[in-house]
Amino acid sequence: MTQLILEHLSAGYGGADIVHDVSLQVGSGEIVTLVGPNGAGKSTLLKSLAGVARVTAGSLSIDGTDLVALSPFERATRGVAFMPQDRNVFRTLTVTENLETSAWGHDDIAARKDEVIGLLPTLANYLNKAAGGLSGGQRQMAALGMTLMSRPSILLVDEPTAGLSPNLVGEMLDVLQQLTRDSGIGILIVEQNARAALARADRAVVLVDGRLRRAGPAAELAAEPDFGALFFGDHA
Amino acid sequence: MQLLLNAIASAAILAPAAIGFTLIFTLFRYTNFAVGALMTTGAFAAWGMNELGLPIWMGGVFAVVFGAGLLLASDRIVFEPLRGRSGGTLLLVSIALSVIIDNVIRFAFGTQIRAFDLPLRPPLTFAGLRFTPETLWVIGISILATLAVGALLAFTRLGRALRAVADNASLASIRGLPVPRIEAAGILLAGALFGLSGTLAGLDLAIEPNLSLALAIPVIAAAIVGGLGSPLGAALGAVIIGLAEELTVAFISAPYKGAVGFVVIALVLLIRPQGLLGRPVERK
Amino acid sequence: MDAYLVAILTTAAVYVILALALNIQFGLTGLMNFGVVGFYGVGAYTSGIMTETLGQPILLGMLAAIVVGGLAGGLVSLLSIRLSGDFLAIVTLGFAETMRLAFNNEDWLTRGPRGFLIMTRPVIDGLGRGATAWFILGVFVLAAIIVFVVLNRLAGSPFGRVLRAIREDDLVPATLGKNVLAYRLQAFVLGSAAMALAGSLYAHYVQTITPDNFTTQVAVLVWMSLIVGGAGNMKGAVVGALVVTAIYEGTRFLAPLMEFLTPTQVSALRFIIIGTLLIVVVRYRPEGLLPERIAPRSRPDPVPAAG
Repeated sequence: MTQLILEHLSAGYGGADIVHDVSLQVGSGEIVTLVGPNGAGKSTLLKSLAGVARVTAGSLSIDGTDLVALSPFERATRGVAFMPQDRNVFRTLTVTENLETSAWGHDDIAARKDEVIGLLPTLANYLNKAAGGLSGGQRQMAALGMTLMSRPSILLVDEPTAGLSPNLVGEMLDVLQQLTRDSGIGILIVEQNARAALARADRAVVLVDGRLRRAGPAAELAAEPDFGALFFGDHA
Repeated sequence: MQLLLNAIASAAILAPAAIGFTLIFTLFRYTNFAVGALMTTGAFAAWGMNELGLPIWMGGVFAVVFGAGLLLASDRIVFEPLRGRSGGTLLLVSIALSVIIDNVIRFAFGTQIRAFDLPLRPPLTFAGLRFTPETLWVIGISILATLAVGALLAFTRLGRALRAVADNASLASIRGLPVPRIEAAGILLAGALFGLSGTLAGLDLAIEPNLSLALAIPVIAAAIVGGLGSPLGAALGAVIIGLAEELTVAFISAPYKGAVGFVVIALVLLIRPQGLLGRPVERK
Repeated sequence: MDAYLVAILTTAAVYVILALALNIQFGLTGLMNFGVVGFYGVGAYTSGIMTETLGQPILLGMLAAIVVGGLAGGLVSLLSIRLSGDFLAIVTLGFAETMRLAFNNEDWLTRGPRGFLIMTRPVIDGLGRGATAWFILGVFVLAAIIVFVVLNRLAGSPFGRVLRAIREDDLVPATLGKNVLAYRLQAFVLGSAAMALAGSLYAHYVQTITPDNFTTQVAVLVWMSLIVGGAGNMKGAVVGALVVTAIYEGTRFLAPLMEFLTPTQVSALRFIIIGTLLIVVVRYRPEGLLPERIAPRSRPDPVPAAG
């Protein structure tokens, strides 16, 4: 049972903090959805966990190991995998190469690759295509596959369905849900399609102006009458 | 045919350095003009070992190691603190570095023209072609090196990682690649190629400190013609530059061989700013 | 010693003009011209050919240098002006190298590596040795002042502001209906013409020019001047050129202290010092001694359409 724990975490990009005093936990096998209006700091929070944005105060740890001082590379090797929203594949490499490269430092690359293809079977259809030439859905699937190559315990996913057609949105979210069940990965996801994400999440947290506004079981929050109007606007 | 052979011999000298230059460009997005000076250093390193009585091949090996070390050292001292500065600034700095290296060589070895200690042998003739055994060595070693680097980049774990870092260094870091170590490996590889090209240049041409500019421009031209993306492109670019040089020697005037690189760069950039084989390069 | 000081100042005036010229191209407009010595050399040889081969007066030599230098600048521009940053720089470097090859090989015109002898000097007849040197210095300083005044005016004019806008961002002036390429071309031609003028002055001062006078090392000195002084600032360019000349000529005094070194080694050492300083300045004080003063409106005021 792995736990990613944030306590009173503030973060930003070197200027003023964008995220303030957020406490949160993500454990094995659960999906936590991060929702909130545009510009609330959801992506910044995710990036600060991955080491791309800077944690300026508070603590961040995985199973007791402090992550704050570690580089993105070191966090990746400790089981925290981040899937950025865009520029998330190496465009000049084939999908196979993308996958293999993402397991640097492990000697069971072939086994890991088979495992990932087992989890994401559609990858098999375009393994030898250059990632730069993939469709939006294929690219997101390849990017997800790359994050899984490191056998992460916690997955941080930034808007995996951005730009995807509606039927692919559900498919992608189903795949993520399946991952938590099959491999016990814990997922923290930022998702614009909040209703669809909440439907598959165990818990949800609401971020407004960089601060944690609400937290609770996803179904409970989704059921609140003013919830959609308050936080999703037209995304509901 | 003789012209073609000469062109390939010229290309053989340029190709490894053009590949190294392309590697540095794709990793860090700047033009390292010091490539000529580093090649000259390689030639002197090999010559120095040869003078000490070692066979030329051992001199070449030394030049390769020396070139790798020198490029890594120059990166650590000069370029690394300037990461993120504009390409123009880094080019200026690389020209200054080039002047420094040239003058260190001049300081140490004077301006005399040197040559490897090679037995004088009559040129061989085969099917009407005249060539020296050295030319064959130069071509053979260059082709081997080009294929080896191409295979390294295409098929090995390090090669994939190098391409990944060149493509998107921040994603590479997120995906758990040790980016600084991979960059260092790329620098060592490029430096080794500069050293090798320098040795080959020394086998074919005279060794003198004034060689740098005459080497840098065609190498950079070959890399640009090749599209600044792939080693194959750089090698092909070298062949095109070699051919253009030999055509100039044959039909215009030998001394203007040195201007060929410039003319080809200008033409290629006019017609296809991304080079012949390249995709458009993201520029800073 | 006096004579030596006069000689150093005379050389400094030439470098001041070169630095000012590069400042129009790089400092104001952001065009990276590493082929400074190409235009400098073209000016020197043009002027020499005009006065010696064709027997024309020196003023005509200078004028011819300016015209031919400007034309050469125009040609290089047309070939490469669309290119940005380092690619333009490589093309200009290639141009300079091509010119050096031409000076070396077109014997009939330039007398090749043996050197081109130039008898004509910018002096009135009948002066003594010392007075002649002072007179030449006066002429050079006057020329440098004229170039400074003209270019400084230009830098502060609407024209100069468009150039700065181009340097900051190609798109802004373009959206204001400015023909960016035409402005870049003009800036490049202007700078090249001024470099050629410097070449002309230099030729008539040293009286023997060889292709070796026009190597990349000289370009490094000019770039060093501009970077040390502060790119974009005309006063900075002047200060930079004086400082670099002082360093370069000052290191000449190292020679007697190091008699165990050969002249080649001393010369090499000077360039090692200069190159190292350039890298150090770029790293630790990239804005130079006299940074460009950014006007209150740093996004340069869109020039009124009529201007």
